[in-house]
Amino acid sequence: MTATVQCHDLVKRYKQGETTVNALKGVDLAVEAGEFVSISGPSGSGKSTLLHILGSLERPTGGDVVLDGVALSGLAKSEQADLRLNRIGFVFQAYNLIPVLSAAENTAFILQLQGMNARERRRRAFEMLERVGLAGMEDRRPGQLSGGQQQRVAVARALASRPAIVLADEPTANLDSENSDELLTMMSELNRESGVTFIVATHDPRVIAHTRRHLVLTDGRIESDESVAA
Amino acid sequence: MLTGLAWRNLWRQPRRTLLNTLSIGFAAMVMVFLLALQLGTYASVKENVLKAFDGYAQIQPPGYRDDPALHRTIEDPGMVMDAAKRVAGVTDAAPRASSFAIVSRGDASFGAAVTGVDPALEQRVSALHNTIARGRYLEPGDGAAAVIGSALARNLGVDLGGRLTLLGEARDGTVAADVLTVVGVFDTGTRELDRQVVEMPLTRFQDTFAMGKAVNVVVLGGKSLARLTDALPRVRERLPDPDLRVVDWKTLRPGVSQAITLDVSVSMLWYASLLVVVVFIVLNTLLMSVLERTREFGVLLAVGMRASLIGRMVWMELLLLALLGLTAGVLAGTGLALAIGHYGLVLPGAEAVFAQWGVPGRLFPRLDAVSAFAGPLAMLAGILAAGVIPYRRIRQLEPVSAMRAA
Amino acid sequence: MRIVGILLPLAWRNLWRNRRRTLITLLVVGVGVWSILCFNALLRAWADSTLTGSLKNMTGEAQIHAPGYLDDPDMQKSFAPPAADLAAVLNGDSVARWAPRVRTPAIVRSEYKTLPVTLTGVVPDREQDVSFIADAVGPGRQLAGPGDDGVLLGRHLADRLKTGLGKRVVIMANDVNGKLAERGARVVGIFSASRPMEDGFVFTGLEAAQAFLNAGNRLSEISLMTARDANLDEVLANLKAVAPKLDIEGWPDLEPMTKGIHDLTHGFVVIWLWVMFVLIAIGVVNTQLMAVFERIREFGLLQALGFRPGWVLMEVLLEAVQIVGLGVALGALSAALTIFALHDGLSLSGLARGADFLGMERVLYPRLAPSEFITTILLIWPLGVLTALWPARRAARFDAVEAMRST
Repeated sequence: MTATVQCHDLVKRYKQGETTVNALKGVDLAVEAGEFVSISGPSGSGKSTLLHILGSLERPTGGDVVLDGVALSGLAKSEQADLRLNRIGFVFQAYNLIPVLSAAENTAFILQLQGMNARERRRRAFEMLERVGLAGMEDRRPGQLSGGQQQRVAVARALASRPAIVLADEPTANLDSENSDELLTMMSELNRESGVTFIVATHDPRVIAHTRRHLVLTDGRIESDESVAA
Repeated sequence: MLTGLAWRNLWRQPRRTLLNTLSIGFAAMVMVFLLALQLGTYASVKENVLKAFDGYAQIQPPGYRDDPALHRTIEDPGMVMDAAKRVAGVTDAAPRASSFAIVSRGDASFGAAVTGVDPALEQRVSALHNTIARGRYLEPGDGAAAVIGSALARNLGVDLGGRLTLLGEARDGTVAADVLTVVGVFDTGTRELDRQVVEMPLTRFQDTFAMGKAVNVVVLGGKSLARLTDALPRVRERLPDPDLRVVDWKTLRPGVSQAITLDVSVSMLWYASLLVVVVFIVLNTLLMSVLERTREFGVLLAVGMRASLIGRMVWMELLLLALLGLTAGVLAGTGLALAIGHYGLVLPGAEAVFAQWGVPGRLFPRLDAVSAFAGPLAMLAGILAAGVIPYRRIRQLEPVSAMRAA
Repeated sequence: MRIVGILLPLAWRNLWRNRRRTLITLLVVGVGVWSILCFNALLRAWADSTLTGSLKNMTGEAQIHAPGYLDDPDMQKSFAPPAADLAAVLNGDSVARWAPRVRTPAIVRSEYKTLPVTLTGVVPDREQDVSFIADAVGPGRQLAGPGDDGVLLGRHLADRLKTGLGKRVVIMANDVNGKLAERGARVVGIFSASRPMEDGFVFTGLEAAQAFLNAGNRLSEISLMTARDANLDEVLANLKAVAPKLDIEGWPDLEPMTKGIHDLTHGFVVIWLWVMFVLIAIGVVNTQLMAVFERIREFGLLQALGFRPGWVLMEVLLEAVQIVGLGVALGALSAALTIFALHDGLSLSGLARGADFLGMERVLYPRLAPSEFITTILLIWPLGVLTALWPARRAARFDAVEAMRST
């Protein structure tokens, strides 16, 4: 079976003011469907960049990526957008939600973009929110939710559209240890239930403990790649 | 110190500052230019309408204004003219006598306003002599001479050298009759004047109409309409005969005065709306900026700066912004007014409207202290007044809650 | 277009994130539009009033004269009553009313004074809605008919002549042959109008005037008003076709000043519109820029979620569409209310002479045709939205990653 995510010799360079940053210096990676992977490394190691490239938010300077059978390099901007819409879910460190939409509307947003009818959307959104433990808070706006709750809505949204892969970039960085724990436990369960591939970029050891495969990225290269028994 | 800080704060958001400067500047420029245009047009209309025939001001016998009859006279014009000219601001005085009479040539006869003038003095208070199309204006020493309007000349079928018969009623009730030779034909462009006015030497008029040395009015002239009008109260004091009336331009031509007032009131509405819009645009930006800097202000408060001082700093930013925009606007507006002042502005319809009053169709902006600064000052006041709102918000800030603000 | 349906409510909600800012922007757009429309209405009233004023001051919408009359308004330049085909057009649908007149310079003399006037012989009924004289007679009575040889004097003229109702005055004028004619007449009525009218005109019956001037049944002028939906140029063309030898002119040529005022006020409305529009545009751009810069990261998020390029632009534009649209609607509504509130007219009595000088009536009726409203709305709304293109493009151009990276 071809891997869900496959990178070959990824290189990424970009300019920051006067200097050139070599974020990735040749990364090879293969992730199978349904895996729960964490990528860690010190800040500046390039893990966010890697995630962005996997999610087609950035183009690599060299190398190629195949995601869910689609080669990213040949895609036009609108095709990339469609890919993100239909196959990828994102969870960011913060500012995940659209402030003017309620939790349910945020969750259903991607479905709305995909053209699902209102009733179906609402049903799916409510279902997802319940699954992440936020039943009863569907109509609250982000401003009325705590940081941990907001992140859970983000996860609900990421999964609501049934993507092939969820990319999470430091999802627990702004949360306290209790909330972090809850969030990761939930993500882990969801991963097992739905079979959606999860790739989490983090430097939090507690987060890493929840994942079943751990890559360490140092100076733009994969230093180690360990799997834990299922 | 506060000013320097305020100035630098303005430039933290250069694009925003520039946009606001642009709106203030644009509005100020428009105000300055349009006000200059308005004032210039008013001045032009006033001067032209009055100079055409009435003169800047007149000294009249009582009751003459309402009912200009030959028997209402000024007996000693010389004394009146001397008294008037002694007042600073009055440069010229000219005597006139006039009556309605019939002028005829052959079978054609028409009613006309026949006016006796002093050929030399008259030229200094009226511009009629500049509109001579054929022949010449009256000269000192002329006897039985006349200048008439072009339409009247055409209707009578008379031209230079032709003879006109004059028939009217003298002051003592007897018949006034005379024969005059046309020495000049004028064309003012104003129907009323061209069709109805005949001017002749004053001395001859006085003989023909049995006036003796009396006249009906004394017309006054000055360097400008404004200067002469300012001098009128002193003229009133100096007049030998307290019954005589000093009539200013507004009374001579109330229509012009009121028309100007009408135009001014309507345009005030215009300018006021402009002001409101600009003030609100600026207010929006200011409130936004204060909101964004709440955390920063919180820190300042915690460090020991007083809220009122912070408020003043923000107000100072507003002042600097306003001054920046207004200066740019005043410069642009005066520049535009000066540039257009060279060539004049041609607006469709203006030609036709002004021809009615013998005024050239081009509009010339007139720059003075009022047009250059009245609008911008009003805008400054408006903007600074609006600044009270953010000032009060800042006064209410508490350090800790401010620092926690999103 | 489905995407518009999704973005529209989102845009609406985004507008109200900062209520004060949105309200102020609405005010800016609203006041701007209000002032454009009200000023337009006021200037329209001015132009209308000047038009009505001058038309009713003996001009009418069009006049027919013998050639040369306008230069030399003498009885020698008179013409025969309308022949059949001219009469047909005059009595047809395109002309609402027409008044035949004798009109010549004359002199009126009382015991005390002699003054120049214009003697006008009229058919009183026919003057209704053509000139002011039909309704202006105060003390005394209107002329009984075309044969009435009494005269109507203006109030101020009567005062100056020191004459009054029932008294006799002497009228002198050049007759058809150029000879001076003279007769006495009794003052049967005093009329009130603007000063120039009061001082300038003396009215008597048409036939009485014709007799006095030995004119037979000849006329000096015909003054006419066109039907409501008739086109003046067409009417003039029709008239000229059936009476090629006569001098037929419409008011734009007869009263160039009135036409000038029409054009001038129109010019000012245009200037005003564009000046105000620039300010409205600045206000909208200002607001949208602030709104966009606040949401940099959010735009990045949207792109990460799968927004196509161009959707962000569309969203910001839809915000502009709504805020400008709402502001324009509010401005137009308040302008309509203001104009309606003034529908009884704005009195200029304090500035009566000014009104006269400009040839206006004493009361201004601000009015604005619905088409003017619509034109203004259709102009400002889309243009206002277009100005928001700049901030919209800035929003769309944010790199998703850049956007999310910025602190």
